[in-house]
Amino acid sequence: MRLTEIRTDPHPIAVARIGLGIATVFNAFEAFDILQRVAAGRLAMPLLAGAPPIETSWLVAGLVIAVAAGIAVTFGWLTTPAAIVTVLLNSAVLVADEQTYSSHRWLATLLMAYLVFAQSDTAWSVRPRRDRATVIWWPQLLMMSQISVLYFFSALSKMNPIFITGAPLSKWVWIQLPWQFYFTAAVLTIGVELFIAIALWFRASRRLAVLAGIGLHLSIVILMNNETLALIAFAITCVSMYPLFLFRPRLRQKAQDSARMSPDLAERVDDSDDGRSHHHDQEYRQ
Amino acid sequence: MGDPNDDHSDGDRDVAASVAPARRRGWPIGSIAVIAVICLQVAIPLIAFLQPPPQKFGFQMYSGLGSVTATVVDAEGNEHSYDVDSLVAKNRPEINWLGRLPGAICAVDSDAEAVRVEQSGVTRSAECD
Repeated sequence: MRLTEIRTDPHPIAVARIGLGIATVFNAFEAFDILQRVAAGRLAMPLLAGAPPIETSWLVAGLVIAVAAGIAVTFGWLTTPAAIVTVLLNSAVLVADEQTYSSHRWLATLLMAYLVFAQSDTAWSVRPRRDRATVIWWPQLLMMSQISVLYFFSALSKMNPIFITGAPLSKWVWIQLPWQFYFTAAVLTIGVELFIAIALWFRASRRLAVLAGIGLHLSIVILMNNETLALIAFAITCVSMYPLFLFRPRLRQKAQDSARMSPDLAERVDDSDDGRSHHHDQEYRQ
Repeated sequence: MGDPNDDHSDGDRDVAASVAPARRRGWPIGSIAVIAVICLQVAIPLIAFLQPPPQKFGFQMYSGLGSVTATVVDAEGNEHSYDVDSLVAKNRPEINWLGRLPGAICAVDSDAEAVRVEQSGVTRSAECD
């Protein structure tokens, strides 16, 4: 079975598209805020030596384009060009000044790059593709693996004597509690992130992983004492990927099914790239 | 989000086509490319993780690593901590501040005779002109 030939329901990727589009708007305002401070005289850290100074007029233009692209992605209008524009703008922002770098911006950029190929405006968009009942799955696989990698390395990097003590956590949250709480919360955070990274992939555990993920991101947004906008964008980015795990194709079962499928039907299903393919599959399932 | 005809109660999607007819030949270039990207997704943060902090592209958010502190020494030899946040646009722990921050503090703090910047256990000092 070739990964690039697998097709699936277009609705989960539509949820991911909407989430990424909304996060793009949030991230654009955050980048504008950082670069505006550089333009106003704060320390500049351009990635490329000799880069021209950042000017407010360019920032405003970039913000308008980024917000428009984010809205377009959210509503599924000109999705592919809008996603490409978003990736290019994010890349420009990351090059313009090192201080714009963050894990959530890097993650959003990568996910948006995969979204370019995902046919994500097939469903729940202003121009739904009624001639296409299914979408290619491999971009979704890349988005899923990227999210899983994010949680895994986030947990791994927290396994250090500084974080484990809970001392950093106590400075990041607004709530004042005994140190035992912060220590416990630090250990729990690592455990939960590791659990999510792995459990999202298994049928038996993915619902629990989704609940844990929602709880983790909610607690981050509610308890952290700054960066609220960025943390909301990060939460939206991650949580909107969960349906990709919940509704992913059953590959093993399908491989067995395909072995039982008549060669003629197999060829028709495999070679179709439109609504007929789904129709044939429905026939097969019935 | 589902097909009402879908009889899988666990939420799994049926795929319209996941079939590789036996007669297909040749390298599955697309599949290899997808697997290669997944390997990159793992390799990049793994390399970052194996390097000393601060590191970008490693998804090391809120790990407690990479925080930076600065100390200014005045003409009398008195030391006081410098508020890095008042100088930079964004105090990101993934950025290596040791290179530019000492000189930048010297440039804005007229009382500074020397500056010492510490990040992730590494210290860099600079004499201000």
